[in-house]
This record gives sequence, structure tokens and C-alpha cells, in this order.
Amino acid sequence: MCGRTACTLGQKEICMACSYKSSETGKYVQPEWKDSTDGKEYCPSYNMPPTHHTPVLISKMHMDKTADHSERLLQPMVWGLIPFWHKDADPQSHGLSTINCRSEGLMEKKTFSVPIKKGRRCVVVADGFYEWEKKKTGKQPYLFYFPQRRGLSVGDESTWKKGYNQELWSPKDGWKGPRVLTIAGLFDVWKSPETEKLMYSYCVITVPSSPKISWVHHRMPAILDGPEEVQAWLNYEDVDASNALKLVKPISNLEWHAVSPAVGNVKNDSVELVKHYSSTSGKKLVGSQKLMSAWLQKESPKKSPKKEEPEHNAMKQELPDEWDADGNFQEPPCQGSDHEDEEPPLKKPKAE
Amino acid sequence: MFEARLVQGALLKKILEAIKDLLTEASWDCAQGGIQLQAMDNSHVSLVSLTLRSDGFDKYRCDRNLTMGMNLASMTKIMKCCGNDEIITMKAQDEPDTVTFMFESKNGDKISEYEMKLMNLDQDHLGIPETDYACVIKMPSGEFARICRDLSQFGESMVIACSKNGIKFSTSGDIGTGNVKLAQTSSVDKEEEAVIIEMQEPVTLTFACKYLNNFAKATPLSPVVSLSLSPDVPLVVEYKIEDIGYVRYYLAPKIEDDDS
Repeated sequence: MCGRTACTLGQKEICMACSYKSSETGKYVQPEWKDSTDGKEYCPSYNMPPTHHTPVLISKMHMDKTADHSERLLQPMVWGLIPFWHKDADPQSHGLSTINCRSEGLMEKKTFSVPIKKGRRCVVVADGFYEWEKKKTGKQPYLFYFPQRRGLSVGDESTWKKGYNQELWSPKDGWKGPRVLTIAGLFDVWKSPETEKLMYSYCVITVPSSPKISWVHHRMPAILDGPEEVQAWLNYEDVDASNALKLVKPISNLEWHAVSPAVGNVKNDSVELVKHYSSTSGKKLVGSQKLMSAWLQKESPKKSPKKEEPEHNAMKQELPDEWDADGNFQEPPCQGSDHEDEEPPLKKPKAE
Repeated sequence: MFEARLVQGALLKKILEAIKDLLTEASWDCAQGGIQLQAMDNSHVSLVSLTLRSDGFDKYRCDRNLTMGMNLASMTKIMKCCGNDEIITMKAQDEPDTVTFMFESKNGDKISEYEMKLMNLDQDHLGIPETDYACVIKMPSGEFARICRDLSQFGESMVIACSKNGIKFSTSGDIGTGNVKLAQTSSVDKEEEAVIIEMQEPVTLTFACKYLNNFAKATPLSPVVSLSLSPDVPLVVEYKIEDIGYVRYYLAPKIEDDDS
């Protein structure tokens, strides 16, 4: 389950953060930025919901057949895969929520199997993703992210300050800022029957949660941990779909902290959303509290694993089933009137 | 069915005294191996971890794991009804709404029973990481309580500095400064009275006196306290409870914060 992220680095910084070692020179290079094809831009946000444009890494071979297999592009795409077979003029009117797709049975569903057979694998980049824990007293959101090097805290304002200068990046050492999360996704290209414009969109692949994460939700995004995995996922020429899908698995190399419930409303967007938050006192954590909470969370929770919910038989359905077994996608609660006008409402699946 | 009988009922009274000022409510997790309680204080700066092994009880039965959320102020009221020489038995059903405390006098001619409603508590999942500490100090618990009490008169926080020469507790405030130095005991006659330092590297950390004073309320549980310190991790203050388990307190050091 993954329906909300924080993605706050600007275009320049995110290119630096996504830099990779060139197979030719052994030096770090930044992916080439490619503007979206539909005129919409990437706007960094602490509260990034589906239907927005977020930067996605793809192999340069998608645009240029002669490109080296390691070369990459960074392009903003719409979160929520627009099925290639969708005929309506409104790209969002397909009535499915395609923000996630389950790794299990992915090849059985046309919406996802066609793009993956075309090699349309992408890596979704974000600071971290939010997940809501259901508690007796309500829901508590958490922000999940890669462990950061010493001195960088994802919950600190200074970590995400804008305008990183070139000192944080060099061809020799690469990026020295915060490590961004790299999530396995699929993208597709949809042609508007009205305007003939191409629209790039993507979905995030989900897998069963690792034991370390399962206390919060039984699904988690498929996170690619390390440059080799990212490279193999992107390089569709040398790594076929079945081998690439082996990279899609639960991982435990994540850290997290509780954040303010204000993230539940997509209208809220400020650095306050990623700060450490105490679920009991309802306040931001400061100083020693942060230290305590960071120290304690480093080990897996002792909570007994949740009872397995009955598996939803995805294969039975004709329509792509990107929903979790419990059909539970209210987490990013785009609550009726609170919802931004220009955003189409996130629809619930019809068949449940 | 859960039942735990403790002939030395005063022990449970002391345990409650040792945690009730830090925690307003807590979950008691009962399993075959014993009882565990782990909770952060309301300010989220300290953590209490209590373990009572089943073999430390005079009778212990726990058919199914259960969690009992208790309001500690209510539990304190009940414990006040228990005489120091009385025997305590805790009882609960498998999926309990209430817990029963039964107090028996030594000669068995008086039995009182108190039933307390349980609370539905949201438990935070807390994992205490295994940590190698740079310094582990063992010292008389009474001495530690005394130092905390004395120094907290002068300032809100206390610096604990541990080196190969010994430990220095110091504070400063409006009226001035104070410090107490303890040297490692050279010849250990009585282990309970000794100051023993195991040091990998020297450590200096600052802590809020308020919490240390609260931890020192566990002094009646053990003649010895151990303090484990390392840079950038919480201090551990441990009181072993003879034959049955321990209570450990974790306290995050004070740090400079750009937020505040």
C-alpha cells in the first residue's frame, strides 16, 4: 500500500540525488531531465498524492534506442497509471485506481502486463512514503525512508532545505545530500483521443510487508535498495521482465517516525508534515524526544503480527486489481470538500 | 486464566512506587515466561522497562498471553490497601475486562479482594536496540538517590562524566554550582557498597534531574544501581529485583536542538 509520498527536492537537487555511476567513465553522472509531455510540471511537495506529477527514472533507451544501457532520464509523470486501452478524453475517467499494482498476479492483468512486456519499468523517486497505522483511537501516520548517513535526519527542516549547492555533488563522490527512496514502478504512455497529446503515467508496485514493517500495514511499496537493483530494474534490454520481477520484494532497510495527522489532508503542505511527532501528546518532538524515538525504532516492533486477512483472489477479476486485499485505499483521505478542486476525486474500486 | 501469587507482597508495592510517577497508565503483558511492562513517559524522553519472571512468583499460571492496560493511579489506590506483610495474588480471565488483586494476611485470617477495571491502551511498538555501552557504573543505589536529590536543588540538569578515575556528577544553576565525585572502590569487601566502573571510553552526558529523581524511587528494590552510558544513546539506569527480574529506565540525554 502506498498512496502518499513526500517529494520535496527541486529539479536540480533531485537530478543530483539520482546520480549514478557511468559504466564508461566510472564517474557519477546526473540523469537528464526531460519535461513532461502534457505540459504539467513537477511541483515538489511534502504531501504528494496520486494524480500529481512526480519525477520518475527511466532508461534513456525509451527515448533514444542508441543510448547506452546505463543512461537514464528523469521525467515527471502522473501518479496513477492511465491504462493504454482507456478511450475517454478524460484521462482519469477509467474508474480504476491504478496508483498501486500488486506484484502477485501482475502479469495476468493487461493494464500492467502490456507495459512490463514493453520494458516500461521505472523507478519512482521520493524522500519517503507515508503509511497510516490503524489504532483504536484513530489513525497515526508514519513517514518511511531509507536510513540516512550520520548527521542527516529526515524529520529535520535543514535536511530538505531548498537550494542545495553544487558542493553537495561532484562527479567523483556523487550526491552527499539525503538518500532518496527508490521504488519500483511501471509506466505507460497514453494518447489522448482528443488532443493526440501523449501522457506518461505510472503506478507503484506493492509487495507483502516485511516483518519489520507489517505492524503498520500488510502491504508495502517494492523498494529497490542500491544502485545495482535500480540499474537492473531500469535496464529492460539486458534484464527481462521475469528477472526484473525478482527484484520486487519486501525489504527491511527502512526507518520511520510518527508524523502529524495533518498529512491526511492533501491541502496541507509544509515541512511540519515530515517532522517527528508524538502520537500520545499530539505535539512535535524536540531534542531528547527525537533522540529517544529514533533510538527506539531501530529495532523491529514487538507487536504480534496482524492476523492474515483472507487473500483476495485477484485473478478472478477482469479488471486490473491494484487494490489491497482489504480494498483499503482511504489512507490518503481526500476528504470530500477538503479536496483540491483541480484534482479528480480518487475513486473507490467498483468491484469489491 | 491468569494467576500470579507473590508471598512478598511488599515487592509489588515497591515496584508500583518506582513507576507510578513516570507513567500514568501502562500495559502489563503477561505470558508463560512472566510479566513485562514497557512504556514511555508522557514526555517521550524516558522509557520504563519492567520484567518479572514467572519463576520469581510463588505461584504463576498464564494459559494465554494477555495484555492488561492499567491506570497506575487506580492501581496505587488498591496497593495502598495492601499491608506490607500481606501476600498478593493477581488474577484475570483470558480476555479480561478487569483484574483482581487479592491480599491475604500471613496467618490467613484476613482476605481482601479488589477488582479493577482495565483500560484499552494503544500500545506503541517499542524496540530497545542492543547497545554496547562505553561506560557501565555499578554503585550503591542509596548513594545515587542522594546525589540526584542533592544536585537537583541547584539546577534542572546534571552532567554525568565517567572516566577511568571515577565518576563526576555536576550541576549548575542560579545560586551556584555543585559536584560530587566518586572514585572507583579499590578493594571490594561488600559488593553492595562498591563503586565499580567498566569503561571502554570516557563519556560525558547531560540529563534532566527530574527524571533521575523519578528513577531513584526504585531504590528500595535494590541496594545496587547500574548506570550504562554511551554518547548519543539513552542512559540506562537498572535496578535488579532479587530473584524475580529488574526495572530499567532509559533516559535520552539533553541535546542542543535547532527546533526549540
